[in-house]
Amino acid sequence: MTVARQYRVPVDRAYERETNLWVQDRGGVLRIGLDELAQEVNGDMAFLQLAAPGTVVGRGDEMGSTEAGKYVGPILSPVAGTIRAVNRAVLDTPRLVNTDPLEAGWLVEIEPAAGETLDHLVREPDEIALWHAERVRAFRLKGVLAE
Amino acid sequence: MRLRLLDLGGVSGLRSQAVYHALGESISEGAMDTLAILHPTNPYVSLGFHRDLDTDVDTAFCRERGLPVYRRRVGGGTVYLDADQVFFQLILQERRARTSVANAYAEFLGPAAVAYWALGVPAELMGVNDLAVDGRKLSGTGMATIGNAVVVVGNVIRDLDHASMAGIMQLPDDTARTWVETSMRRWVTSIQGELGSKPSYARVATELVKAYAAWAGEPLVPGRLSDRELDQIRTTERRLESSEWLHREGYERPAAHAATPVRRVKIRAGRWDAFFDWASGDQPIRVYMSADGGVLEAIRFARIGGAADVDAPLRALEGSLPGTNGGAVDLAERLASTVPAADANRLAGLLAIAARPDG
Repeated sequence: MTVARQYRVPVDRAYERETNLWVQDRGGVLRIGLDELAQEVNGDMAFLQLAAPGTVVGRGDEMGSTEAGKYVGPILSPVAGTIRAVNRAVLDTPRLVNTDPLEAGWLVEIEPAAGETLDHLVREPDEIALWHAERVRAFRLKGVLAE
Repeated sequence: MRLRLLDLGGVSGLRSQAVYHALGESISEGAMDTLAILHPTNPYVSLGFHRDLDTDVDTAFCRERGLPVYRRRVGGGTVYLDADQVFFQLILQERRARTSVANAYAEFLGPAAVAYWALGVPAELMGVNDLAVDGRKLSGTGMATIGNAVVVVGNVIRDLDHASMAGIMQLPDDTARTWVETSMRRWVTSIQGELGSKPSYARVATELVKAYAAWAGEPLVPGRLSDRELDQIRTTERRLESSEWLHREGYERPAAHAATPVRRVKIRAGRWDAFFDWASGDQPIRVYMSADGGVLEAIRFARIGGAADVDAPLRALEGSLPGTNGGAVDLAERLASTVPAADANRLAGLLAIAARPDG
Protein backbone atom coordinates (compact mmCIF):
# COMPACT_ATOMS: atom_id res chain seq x y z
CA MET A 1 0.00 0.00 0.00
CA THR A 2 1.28 3.46 -0.82
CA VAL A 3 -0.41 6.61 0.41
CA ALA A 4 -0.40 9.67 -1.84
CA ARG A 5 -1.48 12.62 0.32
CA GLN A 6 -4.68 11.38 1.95
CA TYR A 7 -5.52 8.79 -0.70
CA ARG A 8 -4.90 5.08 -0.31
CA VAL A 9 -3.38 3.60 -3.44
CA PRO A 10 -2.93 -0.15 -2.99
CA VAL A 11 -0.14 -1.61 -5.09
CA ASP A 12 -1.82 -5.01 -5.47
CA ARG A 13 -3.49 -3.71 -8.62
CA ALA A 14 -2.81 -1.68 -11.74
CA TYR A 15 -4.21 1.75 -12.68
CA GLU A 16 -5.44 3.36 -15.88
CA ARG A 17 -3.56 6.64 -16.32
CA GLU A 18 -6.37 8.93 -17.46
CA THR A 19 -9.48 7.54 -15.78
CA ASN A 20 -8.08 6.45 -12.38
CA LEU A 21 -9.77 3.08 -12.72
CA TRP A 22 -8.02 0.27 -10.88
CA VAL A 23 -7.65 -3.21 -12.34
CA GLN A 24 -7.02 -6.15 -10.03
CA ASP A 25 -6.10 -9.56 -11.40
CA ARG A 26 -8.10 -12.14 -9.47
CA GLY A 27 -6.91 -15.40 -10.95
CA GLY A 28 -7.45 -14.49 -14.57
CA VAL A 29 -10.54 -12.37 -14.05
CA LEU A 30 -9.96 -8.64 -13.81
CA ARG A 31 -11.92 -6.75 -11.16
CA ILE A 32 -12.31 -3.05 -11.94
CA GLY A 33 -13.25 -0.04 -9.85
CA LEU A 34 -12.66 3.67 -9.34
CA ASP A 35 -9.79 4.72 -7.10
CA GLU A 36 -10.18 7.03 -4.12
CA LEU A 37 -9.04 10.07 -6.08
CA ALA A 38 -11.56 9.44 -8.84
CA GLN A 39 -14.45 9.05 -6.43
CA GLU A 40 -13.54 12.33 -4.74
CA VAL A 41 -13.27 14.15 -8.06
CA ASN A 42 -16.61 12.71 -9.18
CA GLY A 43 -18.42 13.59 -5.97
CA ASP A 44 -21.43 11.85 -4.47
CA MET A 45 -22.58 9.15 -6.83
CA ALA A 46 -26.29 9.55 -7.55
CA PHE A 47 -26.70 6.99 -10.33
CA LEU A 48 -24.59 4.31 -11.87
CA GLN A 49 -25.20 2.14 -14.91
CA LEU A 50 -23.10 -0.85 -15.97
CA ALA A 51 -23.14 -2.96 -19.12
CA ALA A 52 -24.70 -6.38 -18.63
CA PRO A 53 -22.64 -9.54 -18.21
CA GLY A 54 -21.76 -10.99 -21.59
CA THR A 55 -21.04 -7.59 -23.12
CA VAL A 56 -17.80 -7.54 -25.11
CA VAL A 57 -15.76 -4.38 -24.69
CA GLY A 58 -12.55 -3.07 -26.20
CA ARG A 59 -10.06 -0.80 -24.49
CA GLY A 60 -11.68 2.61 -24.16
CA ASP A 61 -15.17 1.35 -24.96
CA GLU A 62 -18.00 2.56 -22.77
CA MET A 63 -18.92 -0.03 -20.19
CA GLY A 64 -21.13 2.15 -18.03
CA SER A 65 -21.85 5.65 -16.86
CA THR A 66 -21.95 7.74 -13.73
CA GLU A 67 -24.10 10.64 -12.61
CA ALA A 68 -22.51 12.57 -9.80
CA GLY A 69 -22.42 16.21 -8.81
CA LYS A 70 -24.79 17.20 -11.68
CA TYR A 71 -22.52 15.63 -14.28
CA VAL A 72 -22.94 12.55 -16.45
CA GLY A 73 -19.82 10.80 -17.64
CA PRO A 74 -18.94 7.49 -19.25
CA ILE A 75 -16.99 4.69 -17.63
CA LEU A 76 -14.47 3.51 -20.22
CA SER A 77 -13.14 0.01 -20.05
CA PRO A 78 -9.41 -0.07 -19.28
CA VAL A 79 -9.04 -3.49 -20.90
CA ALA A 80 -10.48 -5.51 -23.75
CA GLY A 81 -12.59 -8.48 -22.82
CA THR A 82 -16.00 -9.75 -21.81
CA ILE A 83 -17.88 -8.53 -18.79
CA ARG A 84 -18.46 -11.55 -16.59
CA ALA A 85 -19.93 -9.98 -13.47
CA VAL A 86 -21.47 -6.71 -12.38
CA ASN A 87 -21.46 -5.58 -8.77
CA ARG A 88 -25.17 -5.40 -8.00
CA ALA A 89 -24.47 -3.73 -4.68
CA VAL A 90 -23.17 -0.56 -6.35
CA LEU A 91 -26.10 -0.49 -8.75
CA ASP A 92 -28.48 -0.58 -5.80
CA THR A 93 -26.38 1.76 -3.65
CA PRO A 94 -24.16 3.94 -5.86
CA ARG A 95 -22.69 5.73 -2.84
CA LEU A 96 -20.80 2.53 -2.10
CA VAL A 97 -18.37 3.79 -4.74
CA ASN A 98 -17.73 6.81 -2.52
CA THR A 99 -17.58 5.01 0.80
CA ASP A 100 -15.53 1.95 -0.20
CA PRO A 101 -14.17 2.40 -3.74
CA LEU A 102 -11.26 -0.01 -3.35
CA GLU A 103 -13.18 -3.04 -2.08
CA ALA A 104 -16.97 -3.30 -1.79
CA GLY A 105 -17.45 -0.52 -4.35
CA TRP A 106 -15.92 -2.43 -7.28
CA LEU A 107 -17.81 -2.12 -10.57
CA VAL A 108 -17.36 -5.06 -12.91
CA GLU A 109 -15.28 -8.17 -13.51
CA ILE A 110 -13.92 -8.72 -16.99
CA GLU A 111 -12.47 -11.82 -18.58
CA PRO A 112 -9.65 -10.39 -20.69
CA ALA A 113 -9.66 -10.97 -24.43
CA ALA A 114 -7.08 -13.38 -25.85
CA GLY A 115 -3.71 -11.65 -25.89
CA GLU A 116 -4.86 -8.75 -23.73
CA THR A 117 -2.21 -7.61 -21.25
CA LEU A 118 -2.00 -5.02 -18.51
CA ASP A 119 1.21 -3.53 -19.88
CA HIS A 120 -0.47 -0.24 -20.77
CA LEU A 121 -1.48 0.34 -17.15
CA VAL A 122 0.55 1.73 -14.27
CA ARG A 123 1.70 -1.32 -12.34
CA GLU A 124 5.01 -0.95 -10.51
CA PRO A 125 4.82 0.43 -6.95
CA ASP A 126 7.29 3.27 -7.56
CA GLU A 127 5.59 4.19 -10.80
CA ILE A 128 2.17 4.11 -9.13
CA ALA A 129 3.31 6.52 -6.41
CA LEU A 130 4.75 8.99 -8.94
CA TRP A 131 1.77 8.75 -11.26
CA HIS A 132 -0.75 9.23 -8.47
CA ALA A 133 1.06 12.21 -6.96
CA GLU A 134 1.05 13.84 -10.39
CA ARG A 135 -2.68 13.17 -10.80
CA VAL A 136 -3.41 14.78 -7.43
CA ARG A 137 -1.25 17.78 -8.34
CA ALA A 138 -2.98 18.18 -11.69
CA PHE A 139 -6.47 18.05 -10.18
CA ARG A 140 -5.44 20.63 -7.56
CA LEU A 141 -4.08 22.95 -10.25
CA LYS A 142 -7.39 22.74 -12.09
CA GLY A 143 -9.28 23.59 -8.92
CA VAL A 144 -11.02 20.24 -8.82
CA LEU A 145 -9.50 19.35 -5.45
CA ALA A 146 -9.02 21.62 -2.47
CA GLU A 147 -5.42 22.39 -1.48
CA MET B 1 -11.70 31.94 -27.82
CA ARG B 2 -13.32 31.23 -31.20
CA LEU B 3 -16.85 29.92 -30.85
CA ARG B 4 -19.00 28.81 -33.76
CA LEU B 5 -22.63 29.88 -33.66
CA LEU B 6 -25.36 27.63 -34.97
CA ASP B 7 -28.65 29.52 -34.81
CA LEU B 8 -30.93 26.72 -35.93
CA GLY B 9 -34.27 28.36 -35.13
CA GLY B 10 -37.19 25.93 -34.88
CA VAL B 11 -36.44 22.23 -35.29
CA SER B 12 -38.38 19.08 -34.41
CA GLY B 13 -38.29 17.99 -30.79
CA LEU B 14 -36.24 14.97 -31.81
CA ARG B 15 -33.68 17.11 -33.59
CA SER B 16 -33.51 19.54 -30.68
CA GLN B 17 -32.06 16.65 -28.67
CA ALA B 18 -30.06 15.05 -31.45
CA VAL B 19 -28.01 18.14 -32.27
CA TYR B 20 -25.87 18.27 -29.15
CA HIS B 21 -25.55 14.49 -28.90
CA ALA B 22 -24.34 14.29 -32.50
CA LEU B 23 -22.01 17.29 -32.32
CA GLY B 24 -20.48 15.93 -29.13
CA GLU B 25 -19.96 12.49 -30.62
CA SER B 26 -18.43 13.86 -33.81
CA ILE B 27 -16.21 16.60 -32.40
CA SER B 28 -12.63 16.22 -33.53
CA GLU B 29 -9.40 17.45 -32.01
CA GLY B 30 -8.85 21.05 -33.01
CA ALA B 31 -12.45 21.62 -34.10
CA MET B 32 -14.02 24.91 -33.08
CA ASP B 33 -16.26 24.88 -30.03
CA THR B 34 -19.92 25.43 -30.84
CA LEU B 35 -22.88 27.26 -29.37
CA ALA B 36 -26.18 25.99 -30.81
CA ILE B 37 -29.35 28.01 -30.22
CA LEU B 38 -32.68 26.50 -31.19
CA HIS B 39 -36.19 25.71 -30.07
CA PRO B 40 -38.37 22.63 -30.56
CA THR B 41 -41.40 23.10 -32.79
CA ASN B 42 -43.34 20.32 -31.09
CA PRO B 43 -43.68 19.52 -27.38
CA TYR B 44 -42.05 16.40 -25.95
CA VAL B 45 -40.72 14.83 -22.79
CA SER B 46 -37.04 14.57 -21.97
CA LEU B 47 -35.97 11.80 -19.60
CA GLY B 48 -32.72 12.05 -17.60
CA PHE B 49 -30.02 9.61 -18.67
CA HIS B 50 -30.18 7.36 -15.62
CA ARG B 51 -33.89 7.64 -14.89
CA ASP B 52 -36.32 4.79 -15.23
CA LEU B 53 -39.04 5.42 -17.80
CA ASP B 54 -41.80 3.61 -15.95
CA THR B 55 -41.18 5.09 -12.52
CA ASP B 56 -40.49 8.64 -13.74
CA VAL B 57 -42.89 9.24 -16.61
CA ASP B 58 -46.67 8.99 -16.83
CA THR B 59 -46.53 7.24 -20.17
CA ALA B 60 -50.35 7.06 -20.45
CA PHE B 61 -50.57 10.85 -20.15
CA CYS B 62 -47.83 11.24 -22.77
CA ARG B 63 -49.60 8.85 -25.16
CA GLU B 64 -52.90 10.70 -24.76
CA ARG B 65 -51.22 14.02 -25.53
CA GLY B 66 -49.09 12.64 -28.33
CA LEU B 67 -45.91 13.55 -26.48
CA PRO B 68 -42.86 11.57 -27.55
CA VAL B 69 -40.35 10.68 -24.85
CA TYR B 70 -36.62 10.89 -25.57
CA ARG B 71 -33.87 9.89 -23.19
CA ARG B 72 -31.04 12.44 -23.07
CA ARG B 73 -27.42 11.73 -22.26
CA VAL B 74 -27.53 14.40 -19.58
CA GLY B 75 -28.57 13.95 -15.97
CA GLY B 76 -31.46 15.20 -13.89
CA GLY B 77 -35.12 14.34 -13.94
CA THR B 78 -37.99 14.30 -16.38
CA VAL B 79 -38.95 17.58 -18.03
CA TYR B 80 -41.59 18.81 -20.44
CA LEU B 81 -40.16 20.88 -23.30
CA ASP B 82 -41.98 22.94 -25.90
CA ALA B 83 -41.69 25.81 -28.36
CA ASP B 84 -41.74 28.43 -25.59
CA GLN B 85 -38.32 27.28 -24.45
CA VAL B 86 -35.16 28.44 -26.21
CA PHE B 87 -32.30 25.96 -25.89
CA PHE B 88 -28.66 26.90 -25.66
CA GLN B 89 -26.22 24.04 -26.18
CA LEU B 90 -22.48 24.42 -25.75
CA ILE B 91 -20.34 21.73 -27.32
CA LEU B 92 -16.79 22.18 -26.13
CA GLN B 93 -13.48 20.42 -26.49
CA GLU B 94 -13.10 18.36 -23.34
CA ARG B 95 -9.94 20.18 -22.24
CA ARG B 96 -11.96 23.41 -21.95
CA ALA B 97 -13.96 22.03 -19.04
CA ARG B 98 -11.20 20.48 -16.96
CA THR B 99 -12.11 22.12 -13.72
CA SER B 100 -14.55 21.26 -10.97
CA VAL B 101 -18.12 20.73 -12.09
CA ALA B 102 -19.34 23.62 -9.92
CA ASN B 103 -16.72 25.96 -11.44
CA ALA B 104 -17.63 24.80 -14.92
CA TYR B 105 -21.33 25.47 -14.40
CA ALA B 106 -20.55 28.92 -13.00
CA GLU B 107 -18.38 29.72 -16.01
CA PHE B 108 -20.58 28.32 -18.77
CA LEU B 109 -23.91 29.52 -17.37
CA GLY B 110 -22.69 33.03 -16.56
CA PRO B 111 -23.48 34.29 -20.09
CA ALA B 112 -26.98 32.77 -19.93
CA ALA B 113 -27.59 34.74 -16.73
CA VAL B 114 -26.35 37.88 -18.51
CA ALA B 115 -28.82 37.22 -21.33
CA TYR B 116 -31.65 36.91 -18.79
CA TRP B 117 -30.66 40.29 -17.31
CA ALA B 118 -30.73 41.85 -20.78
CA LEU B 119 -34.22 40.40 -21.21
CA GLY B 120 -35.27 42.10 -17.98
CA VAL B 121 -34.98 39.23 -15.49
CA PRO B 122 -32.20 39.46 -12.87
CA ALA B 123 -31.14 35.81 -12.94
CA GLU B 124 -28.46 34.32 -10.74
CA LEU B 125 -26.94 30.91 -10.26
CA MET B 126 -28.68 28.95 -7.48
CA GLY B 127 -27.19 25.75 -6.12
CA VAL B 128 -24.84 24.10 -8.58
CA ASN B 129 -26.75 24.54 -11.81
CA ASP B 130 -30.11 26.29 -11.54
CA LEU B 131 -30.63 29.79 -12.90
CA ALA B 132 -33.13 31.49 -10.62
CA VAL B 133 -34.67 34.83 -9.69
CA ASP B 134 -35.57 35.46 -6.05
CA GLY B 135 -35.46 31.72 -5.40
CA ARG B 136 -37.71 30.85 -8.33
CA LYS B 137 -36.17 28.53 -10.91
CA LEU B 138 -35.81 30.00 -14.38
CA SER B 139 -33.78 27.42 -16.20
CA GLY B 140 -32.76 23.82 -15.89
CA THR B 141 -29.29 22.94 -17.08
CA GLY B 142 -27.06 19.92 -17.35
CA MET B 143 -23.55 18.88 -18.29
CA ALA B 144 -22.08 15.66 -19.60
CA THR B 145 -19.19 14.13 -21.42
CA ILE B 146 -20.43 13.05 -24.86
CA GLY B 147 -17.80 11.57 -27.12
CA ASN B 148 -14.71 13.75 -26.78
CA ALA B 149 -16.76 16.81 -25.92
CA VAL B 150 -18.14 18.37 -22.81
CA VAL B 151 -21.69 19.41 -23.48
CA VAL B 152 -23.56 22.02 -21.45
CA VAL B 153 -27.26 22.40 -22.16
CA GLY B 154 -29.89 24.74 -20.77
CA ASN B 155 -32.97 26.67 -21.69
CA VAL B 156 -34.38 30.16 -21.52
CA ILE B 157 -38.02 29.65 -20.63
CA ARG B 158 -40.14 32.26 -22.38
CA ASP B 159 -43.34 30.79 -20.95
CA LEU B 160 -44.00 27.65 -18.95
CA ASP B 161 -46.86 25.17 -19.15
CA HIS B 162 -46.96 24.15 -15.48
CA ALA B 163 -49.87 21.75 -15.93
CA SER B 164 -48.06 19.75 -18.60
CA MET B 165 -44.84 19.85 -16.57
CA ALA B 166 -46.68 18.21 -13.66
CA GLY B 167 -48.81 16.05 -15.96
CA ILE B 168 -45.92 14.10 -17.49
CA MET B 169 -44.65 12.85 -14.15
CA GLN B 170 -45.44 9.47 -12.70
CA LEU B 171 -47.03 10.32 -9.37
CA PRO B 172 -49.10 8.28 -6.92
CA ASP B 173 -52.41 10.09 -7.50
CA ASP B 174 -54.09 13.30 -8.62
CA THR B 175 -53.61 14.93 -5.22
CA ALA B 176 -49.87 14.54 -5.66
CA ARG B 177 -50.11 15.92 -9.18
CA THR B 178 -51.96 19.00 -7.94
CA TRP B 179 -49.43 19.32 -5.11
CA VAL B 180 -46.52 19.32 -7.61
CA GLU B 181 -48.24 21.68 -10.00
CA THR B 182 -48.94 24.12 -7.16
CA SER B 183 -45.29 24.00 -6.08
CA MET B 184 -44.12 24.57 -9.62
CA ARG B 185 -46.42 27.54 -10.09
CA ARG B 186 -44.83 29.07 -7.00
CA TRP B 187 -41.20 28.10 -7.50
CA VAL B 188 -40.61 27.61 -11.23
CA THR B 189 -41.04 30.69 -13.34
CA SER B 190 -40.52 32.06 -16.82
CA ILE B 191 -39.98 35.39 -18.50
CA GLN B 192 -43.74 35.61 -19.05
CA GLY B 193 -44.28 34.86 -15.38
CA GLU B 194 -41.83 37.55 -14.27
CA LEU B 195 -42.57 40.31 -16.76
CA GLY B 196 -46.09 39.61 -17.96
CA SER B 197 -44.95 39.25 -21.55
CA LYS B 198 -42.58 37.02 -23.41
CA PRO B 199 -39.83 37.95 -25.85
CA SER B 200 -39.63 36.42 -29.31
CA TYR B 201 -37.26 33.58 -30.08
CA ALA B 202 -35.16 36.01 -32.12
CA ARG B 203 -34.81 38.42 -29.22
CA VAL B 204 -33.71 35.65 -26.85
CA ALA B 205 -31.26 34.30 -29.42
CA THR B 206 -29.80 37.79 -29.94
CA GLU B 207 -29.18 38.26 -26.23
CA LEU B 208 -27.63 34.80 -25.88
CA VAL B 209 -25.31 35.54 -28.80
CA LYS B 210 -24.23 38.86 -27.31
CA ALA B 211 -23.60 37.34 -23.89
CA TYR B 212 -21.63 34.34 -25.14
CA ALA B 213 -19.61 36.58 -27.49
CA ALA B 214 -18.63 38.74 -24.53
CA TRP B 215 -17.66 35.59 -22.65
CA ALA B 216 -15.64 34.29 -25.62
CA GLY B 217 -13.92 37.66 -25.97
CA GLU B 218 -14.67 37.97 -29.68
CA PRO B 219 -17.67 37.84 -32.00
CA LEU B 220 -19.17 34.40 -32.54
CA VAL B 221 -18.48 32.82 -35.91
CA PRO B 222 -21.78 32.15 -37.72
CA GLY B 223 -21.82 28.65 -39.10
CA ARG B 224 -24.03 25.96 -40.52
CA LEU B 225 -24.19 22.24 -40.01
CA SER B 226 -21.82 20.40 -42.31
CA ASP B 227 -23.00 17.42 -44.34
CA ARG B 228 -21.03 15.16 -42.04
CA GLU B 229 -22.72 16.67 -38.99
CA LEU B 230 -26.15 16.34 -40.59
CA ASP B 231 -25.47 12.67 -41.28
CA GLN B 232 -24.42 12.21 -37.67
CA ILE B 233 -27.56 14.01 -36.48
CA ARG B 234 -29.79 11.72 -38.56
CA THR B 235 -28.01 8.66 -37.16
CA THR B 236 -28.42 10.02 -33.65
CA GLU B 237 -32.12 10.68 -34.24
CA ARG B 238 -32.64 7.04 -35.13
CA ARG B 239 -30.89 6.01 -31.93
CA LEU B 240 -32.82 8.44 -29.72
CA GLU B 241 -36.09 7.12 -31.17
CA SER B 242 -35.19 3.47 -30.62
CA SER B 243 -36.68 1.37 -27.86
CA GLU B 244 -33.19 0.07 -27.09
CA TRP B 245 -31.98 3.58 -26.20
CA LEU B 246 -35.16 4.62 -24.40
CA HIS B 247 -35.07 1.55 -22.18
CA ARG B 248 -31.23 1.38 -22.01
CA GLU B 249 -31.29 -2.24 -23.06
CA GLY B 250 -28.03 -4.06 -22.39
CA TYR B 251 -27.39 -2.18 -19.17
CA GLU B 252 -28.01 -3.40 -15.66
CA ARG B 253 -30.37 -1.43 -13.46
CA PRO B 254 -30.91 -1.38 -9.70
CA ALA B 255 -33.07 -4.14 -8.28
CA ALA B 256 -36.69 -3.19 -7.70
CA HIS B 257 -36.28 -3.69 -3.96
CA ALA B 258 -33.51 -1.08 -3.93
CA ALA B 259 -35.86 1.62 -5.16
CA THR B 260 -36.72 4.13 -2.49
CA PRO B 261 -40.31 3.96 -1.26
CA VAL B 262 -40.40 7.76 -1.54
CA ARG B 263 -41.30 9.48 -4.81
CA ARG B 264 -39.34 12.73 -4.85
CA VAL B 265 -39.78 15.52 -7.37
CA LYS B 266 -37.18 18.26 -7.51
CA ILE B 267 -38.86 21.64 -7.82
CA ARG B 268 -35.66 23.68 -7.82
CA ALA B 269 -32.24 23.54 -6.14
CA GLY B 270 -32.72 22.31 -2.57
CA ARG B 271 -36.51 22.16 -2.80
CA TRP B 272 -38.40 18.89 -3.15
CA ASP B 273 -41.94 17.60 -3.10
CA ALA B 274 -42.23 14.02 -1.90
CA PHE B 275 -44.91 11.37 -1.52
CA PHE B 276 -44.91 8.03 0.26
CA ASP B 277 -47.17 5.50 1.91
CA TRP B 278 -46.98 4.71 5.58
CA ALA B 279 -49.21 3.20 8.26
CA SER B 280 -50.32 4.59 11.57
CA GLY B 281 -51.61 1.65 13.56
CA ASP B 282 -53.96 -0.14 11.17
CA GLN B 283 -54.58 2.99 9.04
CA PRO B 284 -52.78 3.01 5.67
CA ILE B 285 -51.77 6.60 5.12
CA ARG B 286 -50.42 8.50 2.12
CA VAL B 287 -48.09 11.37 2.96
CA TYR B 288 -47.71 14.48 0.79
CA MET B 289 -44.96 16.93 1.69
CA SER B 290 -42.68 19.73 0.59
CA ALA B 291 -39.23 20.49 1.98
CA ASP B 292 -36.76 23.26 1.34
CA GLY B 293 -33.12 22.98 2.36
CA GLY B 294 -33.98 19.82 4.32
CA VAL B 295 -36.67 21.57 6.39
CA LEU B 296 -40.28 20.41 6.16
CA GLU B 297 -42.43 23.21 4.84
CA ALA B 298 -45.81 21.54 4.41
CA ILE B 299 -47.14 18.06 5.11
CA ARG B 300 -50.50 16.40 4.67
CA PHE B 301 -51.71 12.95 5.73
CA ALA B 302 -54.58 11.20 3.95
CA ARG B 303 -56.13 7.79 4.41
CA ILE B 304 -55.57 5.46 1.48
CA GLY B 305 -58.73 3.99 0.01
CA GLY B 306 -61.15 5.68 2.35
CA ALA B 307 -63.06 8.89 2.44
CA ALA B 308 -62.76 9.30 6.19
CA ASP B 309 -60.47 11.98 7.47
CA VAL B 310 -57.30 11.05 9.36
CA ASP B 311 -57.39 11.04 13.14
CA ALA B 312 -56.93 14.24 15.12
CA PRO B 313 -53.33 13.47 16.23
CA LEU B 314 -52.19 13.22 12.62
CA ARG B 315 -54.08 16.40 11.78
CA ALA B 316 -52.17 18.04 14.63
CA LEU B 317 -48.87 16.80 13.18
CA GLU B 318 -49.70 18.61 9.94
CA GLY B 319 -49.58 21.80 11.97
CA SER B 320 -46.58 21.02 14.14
CA LEU B 321 -44.14 19.35 11.72
CA PRO B 322 -43.52 22.28 9.33
CA GLY B 323 -40.27 24.00 10.30
CA THR B 324 -38.73 20.71 11.43
CA ASN B 325 -35.52 19.44 9.88
CA GLY B 326 -36.33 16.14 8.18
CA GLY B 327 -33.03 14.69 9.38
CA ALA B 328 -33.44 15.75 13.02
CA VAL B 329 -32.08 13.01 15.28
CA ASP B 330 -34.92 13.38 17.78
CA LEU B 331 -37.67 13.31 15.17
CA ALA B 332 -38.75 9.72 15.88
CA GLU B 333 -38.91 10.52 19.58
CA ARG B 334 -41.08 13.55 18.94
CA LEU B 335 -43.38 11.62 16.62
CA ALA B 336 -43.73 8.88 19.22
CA SER B 337 -45.75 11.23 21.40
CA THR B 338 -48.43 11.12 18.68
CA VAL B 339 -48.20 7.71 17.01
CA PRO B 340 -47.02 4.25 18.17
CA ALA B 341 -43.23 4.05 18.51
CA ALA B 342 -42.69 1.57 15.67
CA ASP B 343 -44.77 3.71 13.31
CA ALA B 344 -42.92 6.82 14.49
CA ASN B 345 -39.55 5.27 13.67
CA ARG B 346 -40.74 4.30 10.21
CA LEU B 347 -42.21 7.76 9.57
CA ALA B 348 -39.03 9.49 10.75
CA GLY B 349 -36.93 7.36 8.41
CA LEU B 350 -39.17 8.16 5.44
CA LEU B 351 -39.23 11.86 6.27
CA ALA B 352 -35.43 11.90 6.40
CA ILE B 353 -35.28 10.47 2.86
CA ALA B 354 -38.08 12.70 1.60
CA ALA B 355 -36.70 15.97 2.94
CA ARG B 356 -33.06 15.52 1.87
CA PRO B 357 -31.95 18.72 0.12
CA ASP B 358 -29.65 16.92 -2.33
CA GLY B 359 -30.45 14.64 -5.23
